[in-house]
Amino acid sequence: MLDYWRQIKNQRVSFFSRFIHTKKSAPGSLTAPAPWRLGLLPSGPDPVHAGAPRQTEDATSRITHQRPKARWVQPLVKRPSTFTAKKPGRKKSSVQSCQPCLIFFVGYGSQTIDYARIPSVPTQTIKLTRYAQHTSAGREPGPARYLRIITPMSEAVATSTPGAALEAQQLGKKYGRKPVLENITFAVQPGEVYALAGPNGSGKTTLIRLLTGLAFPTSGVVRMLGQDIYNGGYVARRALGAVVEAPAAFYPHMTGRQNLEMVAFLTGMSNVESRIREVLARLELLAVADQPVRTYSLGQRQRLGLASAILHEPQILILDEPTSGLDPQGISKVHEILAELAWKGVAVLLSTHHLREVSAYSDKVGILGGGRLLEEVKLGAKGETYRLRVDDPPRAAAFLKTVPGVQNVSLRDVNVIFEGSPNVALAALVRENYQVQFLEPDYFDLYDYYRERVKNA
Amino acid sequence: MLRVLIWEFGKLVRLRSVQIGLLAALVLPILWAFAPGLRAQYGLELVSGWQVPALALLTGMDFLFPFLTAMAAAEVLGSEVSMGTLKSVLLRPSPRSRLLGAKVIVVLAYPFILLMVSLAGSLLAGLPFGLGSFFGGTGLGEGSFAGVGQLTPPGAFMELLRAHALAGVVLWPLSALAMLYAVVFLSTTSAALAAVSTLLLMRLLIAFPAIQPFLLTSYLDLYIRPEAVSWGLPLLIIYTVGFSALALLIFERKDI
Repeated sequence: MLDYWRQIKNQRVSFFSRFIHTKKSAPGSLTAPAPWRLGLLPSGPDPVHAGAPRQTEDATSRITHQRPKARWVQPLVKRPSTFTAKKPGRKKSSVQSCQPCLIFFVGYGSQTIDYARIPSVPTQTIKLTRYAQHTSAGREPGPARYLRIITPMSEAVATSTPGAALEAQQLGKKYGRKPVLENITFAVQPGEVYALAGPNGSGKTTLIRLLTGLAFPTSGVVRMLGQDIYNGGYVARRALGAVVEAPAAFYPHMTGRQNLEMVAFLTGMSNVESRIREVLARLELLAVADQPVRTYSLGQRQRLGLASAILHEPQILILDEPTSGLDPQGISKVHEILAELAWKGVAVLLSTHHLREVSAYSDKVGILGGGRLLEEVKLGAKGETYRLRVDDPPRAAAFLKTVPGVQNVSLRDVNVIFEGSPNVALAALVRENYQVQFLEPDYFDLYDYYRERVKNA
Repeated sequence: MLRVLIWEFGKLVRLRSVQIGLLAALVLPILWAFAPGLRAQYGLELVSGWQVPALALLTGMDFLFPFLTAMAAAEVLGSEVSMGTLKSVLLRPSPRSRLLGAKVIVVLAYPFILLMVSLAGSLLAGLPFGLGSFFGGTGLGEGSFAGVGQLTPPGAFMELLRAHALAGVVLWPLSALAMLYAVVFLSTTSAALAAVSTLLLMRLLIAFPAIQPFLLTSYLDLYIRPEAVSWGLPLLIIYTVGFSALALLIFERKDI
């Protein structure tokens, strides 16, 4: 077996390129999906052994290789969705979901080698195994035995969002075989407020745990100010302030001030007295600062949570339902602080059910449903929108799309929604003898939109 | 690290299982010293207050001290999980290994704290019997309770100290094992139960002579068997280091 490993390990560029070809499907065998065929690499230097960074491209993404690390993967034939990674001389470790990477297939009992790029969707790992089986089935009986993952996602991901304070790419989480989050990709720029909305069980809290590094994803990567929080060590969390529980948890026997002092110590702050006083005053907690936290009300604990999150003046703020348990005055206080922090350049991500309130100052709202990011609504970017009701909405919408000065025409129930000049649209419709019942500005109601979107998901 | 350690010790003494454990360790020797059935149980007539600690240690190490140790070790992490404070701490830019490392040190120190409290309680209970020189043994040194002649107070105290220190080391692997289970299950009850179950299972495995020398339970009485120290002590330390290292390794990538 060891000889076999060495044999495979010693494969060189010329050897790979000699065997690169498109395989014929064996009768009855599974066929590789089209994107994989597109992803077949052009012949050239082997990225494993090539010294200089190089770029390769496929139909969907651009990937940069920086001397990638190699892993060996053995597919389990009976459970095609599961892989077992094995480095020669090392213990096995499970690779439940394959990350976007380059893969080399080594056929069973032969020297046949083929390779393809795997798209980033975790569920396609199943197809990978099938493809491996197919690849070898075309050559010799039996499944493919070894796959070589050249570039893990953390090293070769689709281009990252430039300047993003916080970004999640292709984030996925599974508990056993059950996916809780799939393919979550978004970015929060400095000074931006990103609200996460979704029904209970949609994966908001899991996503926040992944974003803060409390949990580890099955696939994907999270970067804070460009640093990978899973592989970049604890240093990556220096810019992070977070409250991940409602109400925020503190040591009950310690006072609010002592809890904040401990937070300051763990964050590596020095001379914190004035700053602690400042945040306590900001959150209107000075009066109870020297009382044990066990005597605090729910709202006071929640505000102390926000105080601990902003204590070290973070550049990224992640909050899980920060207004939960607060009275109306407390809610508006929290919103005011968050808006102010965003104005100062802090990237704020919060999960919430109070959509109408956060829509006042949020830049984007990510709607989660069934573990997926259903839609990202850009609130600030919306232009002047109108809606009209007309006797034949589908035909009228199709007609309006051809009218100059009218843009982004769509149908919502029986209404035609459009951007642009209402006068031009109305005149054009009347000219074409449509019966226009009404035309009015379409004020965007995030809550209504959210309800509709989740209902239809 | 020192501040984190002091902080962890502060949290340790606030744990309910620790408070109950320390109280039990203090009260148990007093009960034993004046128990009417003592003679019937051990066929022993106490001739000196220096013999009381042996009684407390022999009975305590049978089940109570291992159980209290496992409970405390499990609760050190489990209580943070149930209170939600573990998440708050892990959000800070501080390595996970530092946090758990401090907890492991505290957990390994706890058996000694427990045994020292037990020793203090025993000596307190032994006062009515006198703590001067006597003919006989402490029950934890050469010749057991019969002894090998006259024993001076410093000699008796050193014997007791040595035995209690060894007993503390005997409890180390159990503490580390309970901590490992706590990391895996993130629950006080599950971790303590798993640790105690493992201990009971190992006791049953004594029936297999081939593996007996490698079982933790073969060395629970190491403090009264000086001849087994050369083999047993390194083995216990290896177990402790192994369990602790595994706990640290798992915690580093554990979903919280």
